[in-house]
Amino acid sequence: MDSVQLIKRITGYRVQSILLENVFSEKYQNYIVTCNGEERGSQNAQINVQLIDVNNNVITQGEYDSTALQMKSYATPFDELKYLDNTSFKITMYARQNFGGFQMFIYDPFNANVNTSVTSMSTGNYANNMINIPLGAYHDESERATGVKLGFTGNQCDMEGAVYGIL
Amino acid sequence: MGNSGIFNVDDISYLSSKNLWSGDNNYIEHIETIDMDGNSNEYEFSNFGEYNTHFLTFNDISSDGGASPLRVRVTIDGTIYNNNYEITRFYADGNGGYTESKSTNHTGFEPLIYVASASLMKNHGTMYLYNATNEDRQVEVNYHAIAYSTAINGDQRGQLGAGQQQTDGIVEKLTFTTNNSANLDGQIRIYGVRIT
Repeated sequence: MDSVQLIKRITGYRVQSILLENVFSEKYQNYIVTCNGEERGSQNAQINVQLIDVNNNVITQGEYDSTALQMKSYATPFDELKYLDNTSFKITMYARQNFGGFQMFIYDPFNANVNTSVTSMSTGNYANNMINIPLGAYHDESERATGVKLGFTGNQCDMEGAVYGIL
Repeated sequence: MGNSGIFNVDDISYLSSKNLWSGDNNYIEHIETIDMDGNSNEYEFSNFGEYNTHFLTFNDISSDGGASPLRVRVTIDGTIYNNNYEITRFYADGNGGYTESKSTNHTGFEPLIYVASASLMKNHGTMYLYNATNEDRQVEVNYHAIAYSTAINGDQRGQLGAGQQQTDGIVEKLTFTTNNSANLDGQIRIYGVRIT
């Protein structure tokens, strides 16, 4: 039996976000979230990730801490970033026109007694150049999460988001 | 569709139409879960099966001692290797700076670099292990992990790295330990990756 199981896949055309709701449960402890697509406005937009709580509300408070390394094929190749008390897992990926996507591992989100943690790796596009971002982050409140929002900071984006459970 | 656990032709057709049927092309298959119960400093894994690539997940890893990396050591031809690991990595502290680190003769793979008491820091992460069952190759890993504190706002450590044991041979055992004899807590799951 395959230990990686598709839970939900959603495709959006010319959207600013995708909601992957009611995807976390007691069945799995760890999850993989994937995202890919195409930005429609030639903007250096970002895709940020937020958790969804048990009442199906997106958690928008400043409760996300993260560190990331931006690895670029242009300009200064490496930028070291960290965000404290941000309103999302910030800059998971840059998305301009065609972008590669990201894979995010989410650890124990349905457990109300632990802080949801994530690691992700993205390959995206900034100013028509490649940018790769490994990121580590956690939600600094102990709270059960039931899903994720993939938010796009630009005007329009075609994107696909999917959640897989790891048995 | 029935729920007998056995797929018939119609079941497979239905799942294929939903793009949910993986058939014989399973990606990863669970082999074993190690429940580290806080009563030992060493836990072992030896059931590699026929897979040549393995995938590991780490959840809620902590210890009852001071801060130490989680060390993963390999046993080849009956010898547990305590050195001869090449590693390169960086880690980023939410309340500190970025650190680049490397060694040509390290004492183990260190996928989790800050294992300490659960009240101070917990760890989650993933690691790929390559060539464990190939006698003509050296075993290699890459990993990505996050350590976080529930006690100190913003105190976290993101970690990314890779390593290689410079000895050819089939890996007979993995040993998970620390360098300070602290008892380990948490779960490690090991999967086989089937590449078809």
